[in-house]
Amino acid sequence: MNSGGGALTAEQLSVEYRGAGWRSRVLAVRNATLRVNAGEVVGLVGESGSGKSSVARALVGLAPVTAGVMQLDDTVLGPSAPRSRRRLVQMVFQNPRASLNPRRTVRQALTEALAASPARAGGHGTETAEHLLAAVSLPVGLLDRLPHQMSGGQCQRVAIARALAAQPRYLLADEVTAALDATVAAGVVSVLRRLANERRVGVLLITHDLRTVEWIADSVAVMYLGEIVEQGPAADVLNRPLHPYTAALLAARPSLHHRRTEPLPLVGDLGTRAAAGCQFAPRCPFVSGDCRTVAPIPTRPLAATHVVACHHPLVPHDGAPAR
Amino acid sequence: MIASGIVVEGPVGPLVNDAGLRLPRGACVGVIGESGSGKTMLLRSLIDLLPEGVHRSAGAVSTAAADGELRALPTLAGWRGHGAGMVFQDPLAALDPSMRVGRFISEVVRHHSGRSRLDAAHVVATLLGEVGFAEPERIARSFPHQMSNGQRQRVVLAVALASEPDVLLCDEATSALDTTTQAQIIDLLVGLQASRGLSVVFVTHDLAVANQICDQIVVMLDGRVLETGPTTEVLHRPRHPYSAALLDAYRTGRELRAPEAAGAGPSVCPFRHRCAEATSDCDGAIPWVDAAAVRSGSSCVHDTRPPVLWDAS
Repeated sequence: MNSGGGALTAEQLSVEYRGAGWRSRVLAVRNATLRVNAGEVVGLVGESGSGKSSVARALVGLAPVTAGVMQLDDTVLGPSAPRSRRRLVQMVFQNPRASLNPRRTVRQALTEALAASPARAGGHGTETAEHLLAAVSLPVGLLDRLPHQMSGGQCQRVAIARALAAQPRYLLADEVTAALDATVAAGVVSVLRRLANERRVGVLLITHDLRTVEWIADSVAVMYLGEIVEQGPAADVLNRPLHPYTAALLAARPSLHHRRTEPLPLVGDLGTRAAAGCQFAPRCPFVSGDCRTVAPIPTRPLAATHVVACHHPLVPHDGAPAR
Repeated sequence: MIASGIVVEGPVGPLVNDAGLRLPRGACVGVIGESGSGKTMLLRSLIDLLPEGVHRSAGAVSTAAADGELRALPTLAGWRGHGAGMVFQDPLAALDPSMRVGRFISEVVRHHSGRSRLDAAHVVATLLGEVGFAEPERIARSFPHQMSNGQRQRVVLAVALASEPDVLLCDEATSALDTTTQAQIIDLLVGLQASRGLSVVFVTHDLAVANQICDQIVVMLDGRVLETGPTTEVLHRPRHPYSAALLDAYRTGRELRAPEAAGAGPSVCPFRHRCAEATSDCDGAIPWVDAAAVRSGSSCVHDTRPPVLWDAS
């Protein structure tokens, strides 16, 4: 879905943190390649600890990138990129109450962000706090409220409105609905969808809730232990998953219609990274010899847009691996 | 267990208004609703675990004694930690960060049963095995920060089980977890219900999770019970327009309009302003459903379906 409106990309991105011990390193993201087009919503899913947040943090310069290139259109992002470009990528965090100053009203939070925005500095900013609130479907009556006088969903919308003050082209939404209940979450993600449609903002929706992805995402990337194991159009990935991990995530979802009777497809937690082979091999129901020794290379067995990194991708519909 | 006529007063008005629930032995009752609907306050009022400035001003909780007769509990605080155990949403906040989890559970065991430290250690290992740990001894020596969120929630379950409760109260116990971990904890709860004969009150906003574990469902809004009935009935043939709206929002991600500022009088339907089917009848004489009764029903004036009795065992 390349609209010609530009894109935010990460090419072979790796993020490595310092561990607890001397010279110990934790590889959080390895060779991740991801693209968010303008006006598009990309869902980035996976369990806790899969490295989803590290990808977003790298894109805004909050995580140590050890390899790879991040680009906004033709500009390479990174510490040396001009501030005016880096501002075009804004992040919204999980806990809105922690990211808003409890002693500042909504009006103060928004006008402060507007004053710091490059558009305002350039002298052609016309956006006001009222506009920002309208963009996230909040009534202007909330302008003089403090964070504790609002619900979690309202706080999260204010956090999105504040991110919009910088007139970003891309929004990275990191678990923005994790602390909210289903009906409120629906409201918040529909705001993100509308920003993508009306303002052509590219949205990276990081979440472990596949439902919100199903509601609004155009495409989906699935992460496991720091690697993107599958990505493609949302309808393909969610309905015809190729990677056993994606299939397991989908099967673990509780259903409104029936009770799960089969045993869980996925037990245990994410382990630690294996030195060789496919990272999912220890938990994979279809594991075979080469899975433990040779890391799978991303391939496109079905469609040019649907990428999977697996030695035995699933055949759509019957759930058994192709041989 | 039957709770009826529960009223919980907050600083600016009632948070729970004449609500209740009926929990048959060995069953699981789900309480669903949006944030602020009073579902957590109802749950906490059952064991008098209410925040400061909030108190229960009416209502009673009765449990069946060994002879099968229902008796009102004199003090609910006394029930807490003996007859009833609680599982919270955030396991990290429920555990002591500076204490190895084995010692944390051991304290509950010793407080409850008066066992020696050594005896308690055996009980702790058994409990940790029961909640699904393959290496209970190693887990007992761990600190909460060394565990994953799913492991921590298992430990919180072990803490709740340490006092050998009959009733387990779960407040959004799986809401902070990944889908995969969530499914594991649900399986564990269902297993424990069978193996220990536990009755469970399960507060959640996740309707599909409720569908996995609950036998009956109570739908709350604005401190009131709007609908009650067997899970299949409430989730597949809802009586109240509010239940239907919750289901629609859950399925499609279409936004349910936020509730307007509370201004509802005592006898006005709390869903009135958001309801497509609202008429002038909704402004008065609402037939509040009695969730402590043994029949399904709703508090909607337009609900003409006859109440269905359910198996009261």
